[in-house]
Amino acid sequence: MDAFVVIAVSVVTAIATLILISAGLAVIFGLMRVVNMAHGEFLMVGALTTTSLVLKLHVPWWLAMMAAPFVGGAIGGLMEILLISRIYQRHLVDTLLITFGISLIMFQLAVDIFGTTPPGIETPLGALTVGSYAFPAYTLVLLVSAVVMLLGLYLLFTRTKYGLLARATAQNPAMALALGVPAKRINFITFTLGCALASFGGAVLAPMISVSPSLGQAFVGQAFMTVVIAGPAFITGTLLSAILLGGVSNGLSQGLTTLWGLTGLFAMAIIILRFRPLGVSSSWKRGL
Amino acid sequence: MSEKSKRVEFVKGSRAFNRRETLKLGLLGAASLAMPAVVRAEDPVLHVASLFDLTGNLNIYGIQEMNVSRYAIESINAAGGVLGKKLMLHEYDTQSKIELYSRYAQEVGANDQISAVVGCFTGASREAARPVLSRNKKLLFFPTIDEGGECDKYCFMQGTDCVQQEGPLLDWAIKNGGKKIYVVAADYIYGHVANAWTKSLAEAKGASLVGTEFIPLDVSDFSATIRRIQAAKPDVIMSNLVGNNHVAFYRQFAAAGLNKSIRIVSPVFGLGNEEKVLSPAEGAGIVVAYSYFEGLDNPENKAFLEGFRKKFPEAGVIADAPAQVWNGWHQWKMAVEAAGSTEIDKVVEALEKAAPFAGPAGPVRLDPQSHRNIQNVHLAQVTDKQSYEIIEKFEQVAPTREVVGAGTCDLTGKDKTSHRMINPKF
Amino acid sequence: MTASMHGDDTLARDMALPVAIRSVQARNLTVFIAAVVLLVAAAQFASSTMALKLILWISFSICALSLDFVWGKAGIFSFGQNAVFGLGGYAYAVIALNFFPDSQETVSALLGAGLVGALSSALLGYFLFYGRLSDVYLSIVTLAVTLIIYTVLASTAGPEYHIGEALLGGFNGIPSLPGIAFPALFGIGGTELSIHQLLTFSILFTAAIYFSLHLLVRSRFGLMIEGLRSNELRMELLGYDIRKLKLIAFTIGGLIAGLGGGLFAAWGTFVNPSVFSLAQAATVVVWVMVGGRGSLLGAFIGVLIVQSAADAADLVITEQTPLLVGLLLVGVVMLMPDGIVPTLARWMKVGGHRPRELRARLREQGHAGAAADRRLSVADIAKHFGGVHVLRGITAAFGDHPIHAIIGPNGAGKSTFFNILTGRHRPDHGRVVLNGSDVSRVPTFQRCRQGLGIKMQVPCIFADLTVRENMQLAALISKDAQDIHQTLQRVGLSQRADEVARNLSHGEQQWLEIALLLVQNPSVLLLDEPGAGMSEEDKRQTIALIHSLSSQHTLIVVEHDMEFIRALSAPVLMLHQGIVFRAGTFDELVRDDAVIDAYLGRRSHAA
Repeated sequence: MDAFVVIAVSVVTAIATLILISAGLAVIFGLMRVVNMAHGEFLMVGALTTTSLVLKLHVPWWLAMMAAPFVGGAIGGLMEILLISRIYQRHLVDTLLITFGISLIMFQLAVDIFGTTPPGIETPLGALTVGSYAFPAYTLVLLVSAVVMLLGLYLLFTRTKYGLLARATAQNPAMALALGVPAKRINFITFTLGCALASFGGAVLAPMISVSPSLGQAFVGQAFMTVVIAGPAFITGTLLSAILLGGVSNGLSQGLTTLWGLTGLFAMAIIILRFRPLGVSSSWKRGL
Repeated sequence: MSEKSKRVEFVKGSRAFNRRETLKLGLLGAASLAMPAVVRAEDPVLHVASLFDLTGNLNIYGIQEMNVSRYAIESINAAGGVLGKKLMLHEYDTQSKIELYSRYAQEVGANDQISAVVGCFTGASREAARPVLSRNKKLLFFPTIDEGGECDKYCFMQGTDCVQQEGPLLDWAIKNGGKKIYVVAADYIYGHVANAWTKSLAEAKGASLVGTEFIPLDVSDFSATIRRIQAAKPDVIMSNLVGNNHVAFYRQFAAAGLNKSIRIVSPVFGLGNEEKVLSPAEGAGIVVAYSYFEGLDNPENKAFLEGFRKKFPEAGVIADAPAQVWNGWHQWKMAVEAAGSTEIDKVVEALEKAAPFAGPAGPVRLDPQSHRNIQNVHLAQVTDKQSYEIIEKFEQVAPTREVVGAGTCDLTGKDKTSHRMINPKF
Repeated sequence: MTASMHGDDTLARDMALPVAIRSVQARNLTVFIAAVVLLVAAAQFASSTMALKLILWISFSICALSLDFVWGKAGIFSFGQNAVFGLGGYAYAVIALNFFPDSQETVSALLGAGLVGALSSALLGYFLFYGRLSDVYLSIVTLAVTLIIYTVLASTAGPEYHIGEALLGGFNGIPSLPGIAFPALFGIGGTELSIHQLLTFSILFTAAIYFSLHLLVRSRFGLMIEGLRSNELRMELLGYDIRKLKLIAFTIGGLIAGLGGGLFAAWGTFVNPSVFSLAQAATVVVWVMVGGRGSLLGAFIGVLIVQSAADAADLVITEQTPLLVGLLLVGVVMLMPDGIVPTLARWMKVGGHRPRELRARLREQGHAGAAADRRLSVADIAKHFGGVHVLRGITAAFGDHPIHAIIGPNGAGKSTFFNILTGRHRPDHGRVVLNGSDVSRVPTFQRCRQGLGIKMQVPCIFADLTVRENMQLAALISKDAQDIHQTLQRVGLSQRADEVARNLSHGEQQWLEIALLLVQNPSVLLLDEPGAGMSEEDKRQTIALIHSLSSQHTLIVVEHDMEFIRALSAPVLMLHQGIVFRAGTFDELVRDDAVIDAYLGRRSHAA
């Protein structure tokens, strides 16, 4: 029984982790059809911001995590204004390559500033015990963060003016422009939001993992897979995708071995892509 | 006038002098090309090379190793060089990219002047370079700890092997923790081979493995592993986890409070400054085994560190692998001097017969059959100040000649012309 | 209608062209061979260091060439071309380790690498193209594939993971591979090539690949590929199975990438999974992007520039290579998005579109004659999207008159009905019958092959190709191809045959599109608002054209312009709210109050 509880927590945490690392990428891709190859580096920015604030300025961890999205958003916003905004109307590959170039630059700058193995922060809040098992209490923070993130996005995109305009622009850019929607501003906000979300995700994860400039490269593959599997409904699709991939992967890791978990993740991805090449939500009617 | 005479007229003009000069230089050039042996014998410099990752992910290891390489060459030159000649170090930045190991190894291999290389960090990078260097008759000294299997007459392994590290570690673990051991290892060749050794050594010492896990290199979620550890209730964790992602294990282990009750011993912890990456509370108590630690108190280490800090005041802590770079260059120097030449087979013979070299971790002596060093192994424990405290010293630990599951390598006997890797079976 | 009816100038030009072409081609060939000879000669003087670098770059160039072909020529943006390259490398490793000890040659391994590349691309391509993936989704799925292969191969560390003698080695890869060695024949071969020999071999090898590709691109198949890239929809409407075309192009790309991977493995004598990484995937795209995907040469230039920059970066500022490469990339994308070669070509005003002169006299001579059977009918067609029932039971027959018009107010279901006829939508209920055979479930391209000609509202032609090339594409696929020159005369474009289609006026583009249909001698022509965006004069000419065509084909015209409809003098079918509201002559409908009510949105009278 105890084992069951702990396993359940672990599976749900894995799902929450996938959501946290993928949400930013999903928003940008879902609304703007831009593949942000620097997404991993924004995870890194969030994580490094958190560890730096905590270790150097002794800021409490939860406060540092709230500051992280602002840093990531600022960098993303700058990127958007200077570079991305000028190439939206071009072929997809241009945004893909420019964000890839930016990811290289961000990686090297991080190495120059922080070195390749900067110190990390330990997991706060201690451990919770269930019978003879213990697990970090912090996993609940991960869970709550993921839920808050999804709910927040849902409310943002259904209840605010920006949300409505952003979805309209995504569905029919020409029409939106014709109706006077300020596409430039909307795109700026969307891209910045995506980068801020990524930074927040990285920040929340920082106390559980090893934080270094190569963090981005370590997680971008999973984030990418989650978004690909998610499909056009970038909130609910991402949720389902995280449940499928994270659930299967962690479940197999728990039941068999970690290698099986990794294999299972990819097998799941292949199967889903075979039958729903555009993502699980491609046949859904809902847009979010 | 014919075409030929027209040209002669032209040459007699103002450009004749330049032409003659050019001709002279050309003849000289051709002569020097035609008599390479003559030219080389007069070359006042001996060429050597180092291949390390100065950029990219793995540069934290590579930069320090290259620093020590430079320092070693400079120090040898200051003491008179080798056979009266100065050494010139050719540096190659392999940028943490495997194909550059291939490429630069081929370049070094094609360079007639270079005779020895101290380089490579991961086993993969070594295997990219070793066959090429070996085929071109260049010596390779490999400074990192590794799992064995190399059976190459021209390759010398500086780092300690599994037996040299895990033997002392298991002894300590059983004495200070208990007999129930849980193994977590990285899921690649090193991890599997190390585990095979762990099993056989543990069983020989009366301990038992209550669990074994292999974790792929990209994984950073250890919740399943930690749950299984809690179910198995071991006394000691033997960790052969490698890489940036795997540092998360120690963090998540501590987050679950397990570091208070279960000891951790590791032959690979610390290679990547893990003690600095983890917080003091997370890392404290972990026991590692290497030949070299900066804190070793002996005259050779003092001199070594003094010289190094003068040359590289900003550089960080010297771990075991960079220290082995120093050993490698000096062992090569001694052998060349004993052989009287840089000719590779003579140097190999000299190396195999060599007297010990007094390195900063103590005497280092080549075991000729395995091409590994008999050296001191020190156990150290991570303190609560993110540093190492040396807790035990094992003198002159012998390496193994056995390749797990695949017999032995005897480079002075049956394998004396071998240039291969024996694939371990696990 | 025979050859003698060609205009004199056309005939003369047609005869002169082959001679002219041959001399141009001969000259290009000489230049090419001279360049290769020069390169091989120069290679002998390269230092070993330089030679090693060049061989690596050459193998990279072959990979870039494959993407350049697949993306630049066929329009398929694959973000995982490095995966095929890597599979080629692994194939070389496995085959060489298994065969070399006995056969003392590795040519079989090299060819095997190409074969594995082709097969894996064919498999992936089948999955991608027959699953109708395109554009952004194609690129992300191909990227996902390379990541998956990376993870799988990195996990093969155990001794149980082996193929014959070759241990896969997991993350460590497969070391100690034999280099390129030719089989021992006639007293030579049997040993691995030296560095300079390998360089010479690489140059010749790549030259052969490049030359073959070049010939392919200039061939009929190359024309089809270019049509595919230029306007996929029009290719489909001409009757091409674009899935098959893409699959063939992708497989060819895979063959090339596989060969490149084999050379790479032979050069390094080593393969490991890092070739499948995300960074490597992006690097291949960077090469083609920087070099420019318009030309095959761009692949080589791109590799040269990017790799030189990566090497030189260390000299500019030490240990900052990713930063400088990143800046280079950003710079190229912002300033020279087409890549360096096309941008330079534009500045120097060289290049531009060179129409193919296909050697065969490409069915310039067709056989004339109207199709015998020219009937299209629908029975009880219904279609809904979600809860909206757009078509609620339409039955009609077209063919008893040569021209039919379909009209209806907004929301009547005309577009949907049109799409049912073309095959873009499948009806939920009912049948579509073309010349007696049921085509309700038949895909569009096959309907076109069976005699349906489809003209879209917005001109759907190959804008970057010449008029003549447009027509050639239409003629190549057709079983009943008409004479190209005569067809162009019918639409009044015979004087513009060598003009790039983009430069035609809007009206001329519409007529070109009609010509594309006509050259295939369709039985039934569907025209969607043929008068749209035309001047009055052009409209009159279009109407005249329609009338002239009516003797040989059945034409179904969907239109809004009432004057246009009146001038057609054809039976009119009016759709409203998803059913056939009225059918009759134009005059009858125009006097019908219910029709006017429907258009004005007034409450309709009882039908």
